[in-house]
Amino acid sequence: MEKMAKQLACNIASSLGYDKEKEAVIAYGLIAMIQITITVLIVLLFGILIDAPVEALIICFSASILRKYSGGAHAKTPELCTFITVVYCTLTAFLAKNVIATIYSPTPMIIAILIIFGLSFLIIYKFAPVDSPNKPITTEKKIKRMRKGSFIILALYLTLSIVFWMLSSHWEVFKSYGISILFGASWQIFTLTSLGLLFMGRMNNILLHRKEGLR
Amino acid sequence: MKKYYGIIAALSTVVAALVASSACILFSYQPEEPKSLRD
Repeated sequence: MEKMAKQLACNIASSLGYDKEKEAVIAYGLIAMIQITITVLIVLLFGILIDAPVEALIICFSASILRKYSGGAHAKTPELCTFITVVYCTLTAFLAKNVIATIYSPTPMIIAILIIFGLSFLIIYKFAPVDSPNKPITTEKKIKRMRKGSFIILALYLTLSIVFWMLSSHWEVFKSYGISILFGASWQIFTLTSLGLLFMGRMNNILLHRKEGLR
Repeated sequence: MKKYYGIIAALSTVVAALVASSACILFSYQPEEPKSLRD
């Protein structure tokens, strides 16, 4: 994916007479566009296969929108990132719609919402934003802006979860939508913790070793 | 071909500028950020 984007950026830059820095910016934008498009399409496809496309997309977008501000543990390649995203969104969408929604009860749900969001606000306050070596966050101004953005997004998710919780007594469909927001936010918050960083590190090692072994 | 390359270049530059203001690209992979997009 990354090689393809860089090759296309190289062709564009040489054809339009751009310098190396402009080529790097085009490659960066292309990687983002290709990765976002492919990941969303595969999540949607697997969501349709398990009959939970809306739940899969809610999990995918709730995790990634919060990630924009909070940062978090990273995969070493875009393919590995897409693989982890698709597996997590598909499995949890299936669980949300076909398992948890069938045993759904309003009281345990509101308790789960309060516990998960309580912990999430604490973790964001303590760790966010978590940067990466490829995109370090160095200025205090940006750290404050990212943390403030994370709090606003999390507050929006909390509001939506409570609205879905209230609507779920009239419309069944909102049960699994509310559970999906919790799954999306929980995954993103998990990647901010040292346990999440350790988990992603292990996943990188296991899956990349397996890929190299298959070559 | 040059016309299409121009459109792709403009579109990818806009996307690069949009993701530059965030902590990372939307999902869990982060390529090296070009110097001109850094704070």
